[in-house]
Amino acid sequence: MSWKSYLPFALFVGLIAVFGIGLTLKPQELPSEFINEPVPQFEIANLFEGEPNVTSETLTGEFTLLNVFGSWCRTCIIEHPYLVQLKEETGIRIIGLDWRDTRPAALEWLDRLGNPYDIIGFDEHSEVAIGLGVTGAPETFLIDPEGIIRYKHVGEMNPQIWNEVFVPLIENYTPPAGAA
Amino acid sequence: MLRALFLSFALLSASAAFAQSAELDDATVEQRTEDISRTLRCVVCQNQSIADSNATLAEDMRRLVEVRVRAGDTDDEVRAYMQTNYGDFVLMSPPVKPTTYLLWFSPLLIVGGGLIWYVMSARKRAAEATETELGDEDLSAEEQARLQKLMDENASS
Repeated sequence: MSWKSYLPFALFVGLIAVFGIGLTLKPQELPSEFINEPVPQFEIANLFEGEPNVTSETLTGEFTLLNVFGSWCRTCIIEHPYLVQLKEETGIRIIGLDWRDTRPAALEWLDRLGNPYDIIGFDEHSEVAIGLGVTGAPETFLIDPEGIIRYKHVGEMNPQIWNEVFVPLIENYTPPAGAA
Repeated sequence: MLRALFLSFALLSASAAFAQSAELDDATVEQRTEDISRTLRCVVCQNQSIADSNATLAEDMRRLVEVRVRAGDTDDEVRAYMQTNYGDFVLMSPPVKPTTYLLWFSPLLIVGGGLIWYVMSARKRAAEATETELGDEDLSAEEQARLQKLMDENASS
């Protein structure tokens, strides 16, 4: 048999390999366009009516987690206890973005599960979420003291992600020269 | 101070947007929102445009497209805004650039390669065909004589 007779089989194996690799990819997790970019400017209402608006400037000054959540989001319920624990153990500033929610539902949710957030913005119509390239909840951004986004984690926060990704990023941070 | 500046800028751009929105009638805005939405991919249900998708995020993206159209953005500016937030992925038609050359031009390569292969094999076949087509002049004198003999025998029997 000439080598040509093996061609269909080789093509078949090649296709299987391509599909096999395709299965391991996660097209839902878009890479963030904002890694090492400043947080886009925004200003949005506070979840607690009467408290000051939340702006992009609110996020600067210290290492901050910006956590996108909603009371409708099932995975957020799973990750929530860890955020509470993280707040207790590390004291890191956690700013919430309550996304596509209603105020009563969100407040009830926080009452029930605890509130690890320092400040919570209320993003009813995805204005901030779209500005940040959010595709689903939960998502957690790590923002450095200069207001630069260092990392975006899609899906629930857990000890593994925190220890393996977030902690090294925070520990290896060197403030830019000339920063106050 | 910065905040005051920012606020006054926001107010200015808001009033500018208002001035412009007066020129755009609702039908135009609706049509343009629809047109732009067809070119933007829903990032939740990834094979639909935000015009086709019922996902809540797509709904909000359409709303934002409309807001920006009303504010006086051109179609390309709206798309560019979404592109900064979500990357090239959000465009239904990926931009032509070095990393997408393979995507854009591989069909041409395949058709071109196929054509070259076809022409070459057709030539080869034609060459082979002329080689095997034997005429009278290809036979030696001895062969001619034998052929003639066979034909004569056939005719007489």
